[in-house]
Formats: sequence, structure tokens, C-alpha cells
Amino acid sequence: MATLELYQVCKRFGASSALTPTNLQVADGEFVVLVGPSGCGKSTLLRMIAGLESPSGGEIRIGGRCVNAQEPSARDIAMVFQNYALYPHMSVRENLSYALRLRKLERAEIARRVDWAADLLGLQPLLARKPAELSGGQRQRVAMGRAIVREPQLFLFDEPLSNLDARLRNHMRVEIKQLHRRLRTTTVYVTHDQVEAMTLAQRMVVMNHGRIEQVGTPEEVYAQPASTFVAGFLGAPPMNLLAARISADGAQVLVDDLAPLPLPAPQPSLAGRAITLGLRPEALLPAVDGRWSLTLNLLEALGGELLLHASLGRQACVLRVATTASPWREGDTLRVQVASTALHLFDAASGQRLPS
Amino acid sequence: MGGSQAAGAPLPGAWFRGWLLPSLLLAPQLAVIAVFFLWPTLRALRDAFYQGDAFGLSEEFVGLRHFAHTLSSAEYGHALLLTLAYALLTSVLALAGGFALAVAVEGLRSGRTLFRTLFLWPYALAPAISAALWVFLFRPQVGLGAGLLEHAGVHWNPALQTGQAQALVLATTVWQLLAYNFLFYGAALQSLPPSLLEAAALDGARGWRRVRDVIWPLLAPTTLFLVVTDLTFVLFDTFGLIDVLTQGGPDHATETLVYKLYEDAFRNFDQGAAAVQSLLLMLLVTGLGVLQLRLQRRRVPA
Repeated sequence: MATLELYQVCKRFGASSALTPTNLQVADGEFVVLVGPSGCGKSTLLRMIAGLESPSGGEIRIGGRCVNAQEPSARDIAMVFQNYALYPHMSVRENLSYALRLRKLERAEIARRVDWAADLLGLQPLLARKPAELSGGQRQRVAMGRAIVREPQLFLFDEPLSNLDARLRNHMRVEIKQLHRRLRTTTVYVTHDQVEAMTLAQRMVVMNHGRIEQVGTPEEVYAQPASTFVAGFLGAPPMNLLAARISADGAQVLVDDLAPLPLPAPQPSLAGRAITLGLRPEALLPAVDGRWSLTLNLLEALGGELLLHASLGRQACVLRVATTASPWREGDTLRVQVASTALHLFDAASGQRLPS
Repeated sequence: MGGSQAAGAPLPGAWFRGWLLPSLLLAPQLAVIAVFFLWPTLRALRDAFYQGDAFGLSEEFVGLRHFAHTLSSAEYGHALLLTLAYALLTSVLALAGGFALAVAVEGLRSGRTLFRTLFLWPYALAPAISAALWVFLFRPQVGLGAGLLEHAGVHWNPALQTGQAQALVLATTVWQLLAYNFLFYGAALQSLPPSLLEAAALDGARGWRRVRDVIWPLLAPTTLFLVVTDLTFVLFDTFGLIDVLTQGGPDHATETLVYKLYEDAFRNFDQGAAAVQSLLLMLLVTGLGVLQLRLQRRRVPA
């Protein structure tokens, strides 16, 4: 186990920049998730940590030791690939033991580690099989087994669950979390799936366009998104982002010609500014004496909860209500209450979070 | 439901009414097969059981006499052994060489396209032309290659030295096959999933271990395919090459099955023996094809 530190690490492909200079510290035993849309640079960053690509600049340290010049196999890391990358001509046992055999470990030690990993992941009955004879979930488990037998300092996961169906993905997600609980190995996990990121991460790194938008615990990032990008990326459905303005006295938010919303505390520095107002779908609460009135366009019943797609003035928004049966119908007008503590303010131009 | 039905049944539009149009569409291909494959095969089959007189005026049925004669003749045994050794040696050398070149070129940082183009050129030549090239290069006293060998102390005269003639034929065949094998191995290497090679890099497989443990086994289907095509090429298509290089000599040292068959048919005018030999050669190659299909079905996972 070890720490991982990135100092000003960047990557350019020709003239285009895949990753702007990036700093990140991962503590010993921590589970960090890099999350963002495709092309945001998360996989490039992971591949540079693995040594499969070399950074255009900056320094990567594992356990305090600079590994920039080291080959992937010398970095004492293990990686799980999206398409599993199992050797198709080797049995499961041979797949698990290959790296150990290359390192010329003693036969008894190799057998001990393979058995340990197989027990941990429930692979014992599959050891003699070839990858082609396994299901997707079993292959993924073998890929994880191949990583843990090496007892590495650092685990790297590159979208490991993307090729699995939804049910299996949920199951494997829990397994990965339990595995980390038991092994406590420092882990960097890349995904584009915000649910995976929220559930697995001790700390998440939200990336966009080759740079880090925000680093924090899932709770922090969800409660205090640093930009409209983060706000719109996390949560299903994501936060409603409405074009709005701060009143001349800096005490209220104005959305179109709806009733003004008071800020929790007056912000004279923002007076009169154009902003983006962020409201989580669960922050808009139906109430008979609500301040705002909106028109329902569409209802989606999800069983335990209800999604209401509505028009708020001239803008669209989504509400989430915890109820099984809908008392409303499409076309109804509905009054909603907004708690002043639920407001997220962002700069209209830059999308950066503003104090509220 | 719709999917399972569509998988088994042909498309509704793929049906023809009546026999006329399908027959016309098939006719050109069937004609080619009939004239250039079926007819000669049937002729060979018939000739194998008949003996004509010296003037070609009459024939008599002789049963299996041609077969017995051919199979018991020392010359045929010699040609068979020579051909098997020639085929195995060329295939092994060309496979190993093509694989090594493909792996080496794939590992280059730059200039891959250049090497790919250069190594492909021999494949573009007809066997007879590449043989003419080698004849020119290795003509005693005149040729560039012959000069180098003389310089190295070899008394070079493939027209008299059986070993040298065999080496010359071997080298020319390998040279020609190498390009073909290089092409297929190169394509197969490029289609390997990159993540597998990356996983191998992370596992610490480098250099020779990476090639032996990961790349070579993954290319097994390509190797199987090339073994059969190489052997077939050597058995059938090297006639022109040998005819230009050595005419089967000296002293039958390079007289392979396909060349002996030609000699018997067109120099010795022994139609019966030639027919028997062509049938046996066809059996050999057909056997190879069947073996390939069997192995492929077993090895390649669904």
C-alpha cells in the first residue's frame, strides 16, 4: 500500500491538450474515483499512472518515489481493464498466476496466493476453465483476481463495469467496495457513471475537458458543486439550472417574472448580476401555499418516487417527489415551495459557484 | 420472438421463382470449374487406369498397374521424401521468418510503413519471375550472390552440386513465402486487442517472454492457416520456380512431386504414371485442407 501524488502532470497529443497540468494527492489506503464524460482526460490520467502512456510534463510519485521513468511492471501496480484483457489461451489459474510466475516466485507461494484470491472472489470452481467459458461477471472477477494476487501498492480500475448489464453492475459494485474494505489497498477508479462514483468513492475527482473541476467526498461534491458542470453531471435527474438575476439590493433571486426568492443572507457584491440558479429536483416541494406556480408537462412514476417535468415561467425543470400514487395529472398547475438554504448560485458566464 | 425467426429463415427477397435465372447466374462459375477442374480431374482419373500405345492409337484397361508401378518405384519414393522435406523445411523457415519480421516491424517506433512495403514486394512477383531473379543473382562467376559465396570460400556451382541446387531452391521459395507470411502475421498482430498487450506489460512480460507466452499463442489461428497455405503453395505452385532454377536437377536432386509429374507427362510421355501422381498429389493437398478445417473448428473458440 502506498500514497500516490501527481504534480503538474499533463498530456499533449500533438497540438491538442488531453490533460492540463494536474495536481492530486491520494492517501494511503484511499479509494479515489475519477469521474467525467468521455474525453475528459480521466483514462489518460489513469494510463499515465499505470505507465502505459508517458506524461508530457510533471511528476508521478507512488509511495513517495518518482515513477516517471519506470516501466509499468516496475511500478508495483495492478490494473483492471474494461474489456477484462484476460489471456484467452490460458486457464483461469494460469491467468491469475502469470505475473507471479514471471517474477519467479516460489511454487508454493504462487499456489497460496492464487488460492487466497480464488477463495476471496469465489473463483475456486472456475480455476481450470478458459476465459471463453466464463460469463461476463466471472471474467470481471478473474480480472480482479489477477490484480489482487500481485498484492500491489496500487489498484487501477479503468471502467471495469461498463461491459456488464445493469443488474450485474450493481452486484459487482458492491463486491469491489467489500474487496477494498478487506484489502485496504490504495485505489484509483475511473468511470463515467456517476452512481458508481458516488457509491464507491471516499473522494471523487470530477473532470471535464482535460482538467479537474472539483475534488471532494461524494457528500461535499453533491451538496456544494463547484460549477454548473459538476451540478449538471451528478444526480439523477441532475440539478435544475435556471437563468436568473440577483435583485438590485442583493437580497433576492429573480427567475423570469416569478415571485422573488430571498437569499439566506444578502450578498451586496452580487447585486444586479446575471446568475445561474441551481435547484435539486428534491428542493422544489409541492405545497398548497407555495411561492411559485408551475405547469406539469409529463409525469414519470418510478415506483417509490415520482418525477414531475414542468414549466417554470419560460424554463423547464424537474421535480422529484417521494410518493407512490400521483395526486396530479399532466396539464395541472402546481404550487411549490423553495427553501432558501437549497439555492445554488453560479456565475452565468463562467459557471463557477458563487457564495450564497 | 421476431429475432429467433429471422435468424433461421432466409430473407423473403432471396427466393427465385423457377430455375432459369439462378442457373444462368451460376453458369459462368460452374463452367470454369467444369473446364479447368472437373474435366482434368476426370481425365486423370480415367488415364490412371488405362495404358495407351506409343502412337496414341489404342488404349487398354490396366486396372491398378499404374498405381502399383508408381508406388513401388524408387524414383517416386525419392521425390515424395524430397518433397516432404522441402515442404516442411520451407514452411517452418518462412513461418518463423515471417513471424519474426512482423513482430520486429510492429515494434518499430518509426518507418513501419516503409518496411511493410519493402517486405511485401516479393509477394507481388510470380514464382517464375522471382526464380529468374535468383538465377541471375546466383549464376556462377557472374551473379552478385554467387560472387559473395565465392568470396566466402564456397565453390559455387548449383548445376553440379546437388546440395547447392537444393539450397538455392529452398532459399528462393522461402524468400517468396516470407512476404506472404509477413503480410498475414502483420495484419493479425495489428488486430490483437491493445489491452491484452498492456496487461502483459503490467504483468511484467517483456521481450522474448511476451512473444512466447502471449503473442505467439494468440496468433495460433493465423499460424494454422499459414501452415496449410504454405504447404499447398510448396506442393503445387513451385513448379515454375523449379523449372526456371534447376529443371529438377542435378541428378533429380530438386525433382519434387509436381516437377516429376510434369516430367513424366510431357518429357517421358507416360500419361498413366502422371495421372496417378496428380491424383496422389491432389489427395495429399485435400487431406491438408480437411486437417485444417478440423483443427480450426477445435481451436478457435466460438
